[in-house]
Amino acid sequence: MSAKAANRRIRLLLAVFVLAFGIAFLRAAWLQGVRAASFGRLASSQHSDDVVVPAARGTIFDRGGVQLAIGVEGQTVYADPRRVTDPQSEAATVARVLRLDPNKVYRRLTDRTHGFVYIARKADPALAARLARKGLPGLGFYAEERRFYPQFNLASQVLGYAGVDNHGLAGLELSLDRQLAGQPGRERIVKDASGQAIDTVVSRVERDGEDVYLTLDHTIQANAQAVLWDTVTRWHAKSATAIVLDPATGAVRAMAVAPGFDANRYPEVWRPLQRNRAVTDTYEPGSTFKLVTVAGALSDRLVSPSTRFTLPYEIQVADRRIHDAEPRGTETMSVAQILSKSSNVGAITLAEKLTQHRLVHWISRFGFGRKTGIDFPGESPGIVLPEERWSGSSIGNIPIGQGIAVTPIQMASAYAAIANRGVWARPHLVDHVGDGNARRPARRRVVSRWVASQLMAMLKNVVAEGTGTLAAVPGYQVAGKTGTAAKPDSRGGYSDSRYVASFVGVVPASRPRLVILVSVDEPRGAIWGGVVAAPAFAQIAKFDLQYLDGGVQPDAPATAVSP
Amino acid sequence: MWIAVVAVLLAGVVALNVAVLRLNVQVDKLGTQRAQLRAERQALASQLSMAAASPRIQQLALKRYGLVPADPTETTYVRLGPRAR
Repeated sequence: MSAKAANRRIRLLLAVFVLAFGIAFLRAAWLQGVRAASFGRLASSQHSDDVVVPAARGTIFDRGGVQLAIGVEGQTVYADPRRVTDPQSEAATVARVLRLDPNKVYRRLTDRTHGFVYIARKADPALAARLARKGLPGLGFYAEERRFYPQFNLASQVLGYAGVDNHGLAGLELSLDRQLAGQPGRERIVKDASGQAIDTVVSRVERDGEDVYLTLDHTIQANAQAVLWDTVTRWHAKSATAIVLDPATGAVRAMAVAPGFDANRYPEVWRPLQRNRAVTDTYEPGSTFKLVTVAGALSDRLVSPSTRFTLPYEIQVADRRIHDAEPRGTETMSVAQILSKSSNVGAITLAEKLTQHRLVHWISRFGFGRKTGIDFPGESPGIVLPEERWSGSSIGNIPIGQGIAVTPIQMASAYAAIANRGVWARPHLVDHVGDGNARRPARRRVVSRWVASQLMAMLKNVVAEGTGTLAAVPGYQVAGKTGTAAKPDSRGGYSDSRYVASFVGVVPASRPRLVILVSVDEPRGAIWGGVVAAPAFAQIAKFDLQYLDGGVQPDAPATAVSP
Repeated sequence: MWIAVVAVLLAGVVALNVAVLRLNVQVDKLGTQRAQLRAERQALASQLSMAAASPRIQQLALKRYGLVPADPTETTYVRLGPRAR
């Protein structure tokens, strides 16, 4: 071989080397420069996972420490449809084990446009385990926290519910979502080639939600719900509401609405059944509102409980004639009798003496027309006409609780103020959150101690000899007031067939421990608060007085009936 | 000499890494165990709450032992004097 040929071959070899190294260099530059970020991400995803560590949602307890809402484990079942080999038989098996619609499951398993589809969120862990044992291809499982209401329909309208993503959607679950939810954490899990975790780097520690302790007592609540349900059934009523309130503190011991519902099955429940009507709905109170009229007249020193009035059966106010519930001749009644006999003419006479302006003042002073500030979302302020919009006949219907709309919680807290020697305490459902101290409710004086004691004496007469005799509880003095109000109709008048029957009472009247309100919407067969609502009040009061602190000492042993 | 020192140091580093890896695997297992225990605790708490439900207890008391709520009129309260307290 000549030297020239040898040189050519060497140059050729050099060129090959240069070319090869050039290609290798360019490839390296391409991979490490241009594609570095995406390949880095790919490599990182193969050996590490960034995961969100969910925070456990706080538990809701009643005042005795019984769990009312709790987080439990649910197993979420998902599928990769591309790995499912026999969708038809797999769908049938999944649907049978998880009790789902097989057609829906089949549609999801055949959706090959996605690599991930949910089959069931937060399914029963036992059912999910049974399904996992079958080893079906393409199915996966992971644990998630599921909200569970272990007492089912107990206080469901108050508690509300949390949705599938564990966020509060209604009731206290919604209003306390920030405290209950906590803060999820974040961590990176580094895995080896076999997928086993070899390192966990926590970038943010999860903070579990705080527990919430309510003022509700699950025993008082359960009894109130049972009594309400019996009342609704007996009188074929549309619904009924009951509130049990501690007048000294404003703590709500029970807030019941019938019919109720199981919060675990909230998506299937008709929305109006989910409303906490005790706070969000208004009604025309009728005669229970006469307390405000009488309190105003006493406080302004226009009358005393023994001041007497000569009262005809009916009275003309502007263009309307208003009469008492039962026909009677002209009678002389004291202020106490006006309340105990629930005389409309008497209450209007007192209101005219009080004047419109002062009545408006007392309505506002008792808190009607504005929210009580109870710690529950969606509270209604009620409907109270501003003074400038009063008509000539307003002084004839507002003093007797018509033409004004209030919420049950407003009415219960107004009576609680009288029971608490004239001091109103803001009603509340939450005692404390986490390790915090018990909340101190706002308080304000509504009437003087003397006026409150006079009113209590008059309210005792209502039960002793007036319209509320069926509210009597053997062994205890009861003070209270009946209410029967026609419901407004669509023509701007009042219905002659649809009524709200109510009773608000205080027990024991000498040392008030509880204020109980019962209102029954559209009862049939009887409409009177003293007939429909008062017995329900008595049943609730009798149970609660026996239960509370191991039994509240009777203050009227003489009224006890010997067995 | 220095080769032996480097070899020992390298062996130490490897041993340390192996120990760290083992601990990490253990931490992961403990994390899983913690999640399981938490789930069990939640399940027990919900069972406890269901068992403590007043209507259920009342029903059982009535069915098993014939117990009914006491009548307030039949309840006698004893007033204790200051000495008895």
